[in-house]
Amino acid sequence: MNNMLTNPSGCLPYIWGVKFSLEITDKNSSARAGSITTDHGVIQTPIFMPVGTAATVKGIHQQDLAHDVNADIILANTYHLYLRPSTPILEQAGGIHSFMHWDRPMLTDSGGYQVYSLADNRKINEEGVAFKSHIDGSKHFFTPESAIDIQRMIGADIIMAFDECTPYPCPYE
Amino acid sequence: MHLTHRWLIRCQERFAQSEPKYGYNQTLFPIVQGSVYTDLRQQSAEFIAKTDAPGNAIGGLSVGEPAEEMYAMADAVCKILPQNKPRYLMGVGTPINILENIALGIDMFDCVMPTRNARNGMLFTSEGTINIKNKKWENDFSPIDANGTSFVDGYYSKAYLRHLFSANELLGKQLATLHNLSFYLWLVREARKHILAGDFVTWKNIMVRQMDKRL
Repeated sequence: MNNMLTNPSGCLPYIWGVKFSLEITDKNSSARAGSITTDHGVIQTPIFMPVGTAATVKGIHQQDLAHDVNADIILANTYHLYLRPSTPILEQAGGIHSFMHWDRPMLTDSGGYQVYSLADNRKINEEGVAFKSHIDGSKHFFTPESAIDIQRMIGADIIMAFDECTPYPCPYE
Repeated sequence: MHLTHRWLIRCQERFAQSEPKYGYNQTLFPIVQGSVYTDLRQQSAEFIAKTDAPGNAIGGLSVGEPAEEMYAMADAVCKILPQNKPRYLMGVGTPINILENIALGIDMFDCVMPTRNARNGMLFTSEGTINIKNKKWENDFSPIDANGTSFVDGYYSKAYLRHLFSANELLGKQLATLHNLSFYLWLVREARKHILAGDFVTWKNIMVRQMDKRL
């Protein structure tokens, strides 16, 4: 694992997180084959990421996920992990890879979609989103900044921007 | 959508000013929004493309809109997002949705469908979908999926898996999950092989017809 902070190019650090190499674009469609290199390994694309919402792909253990399913990368949900086990616990564990014993790449979504689909009493303003936990009704407030801070502490290889997810149907405005 | 863009700038600033905590790098992907309105999707994709992120995502689809609208939005956005960065379509989808979106230029997918449907007894195979709880499988001792790549596919029979579901045994959900995830991973790897071999569209069209069947 190379430490981006010592990279000599002087580029903004986030450029260095993953590298995509496009191998081929199909002549008869827009399909592409490529590879994404992360510090936890290479992902050949196109790829499907099994969903491991609460740091578990429901019903199967990590050995089977790695060696039978042979998943290159899995996804976890910021909203769920922030509420339970909570970010300080993940920080004490040394990040999500270490906590769940998954040494291949991971991606976390930002929580925007789950706040919209699961949480109660959701109120959006310019600053962020206030919501109540679907687990115990406790009150929380996510902002773009806190979504980044939480995802830094969870420690996935690819993290997502905090967005406002719209329902369907959705009025134009 | 404009709020998502303003929030993106704040996310990118926070990201640039903070550091990873565990000795390996992290990357931030922005998300294109804009519901099912082509002009909004195009505006959003243009805004996102300008941020020059290492990868880009498309959100707000697979939320109940018809598949044709999803494909139209993915197509419009892929035409604008940079070629040399991976494109992630969030929350998609059925095996057919995945192949159709690969054809439009999507590189990454996630969805609860293979795991959630597995727990309800629905199996995806290269020849169509199976409801393993159906009585017709009660005495079918053929493998779960003769073409499947998972260990469980050739090791256990449909009749046994049906029994596990009938008896509400935990192992049933586990075997079905292993089967469905292995199938999804097989599907995208097979797609990759056919893209590299140059016959992706021919293969995709056959697969889409087959996978649409109910067995």
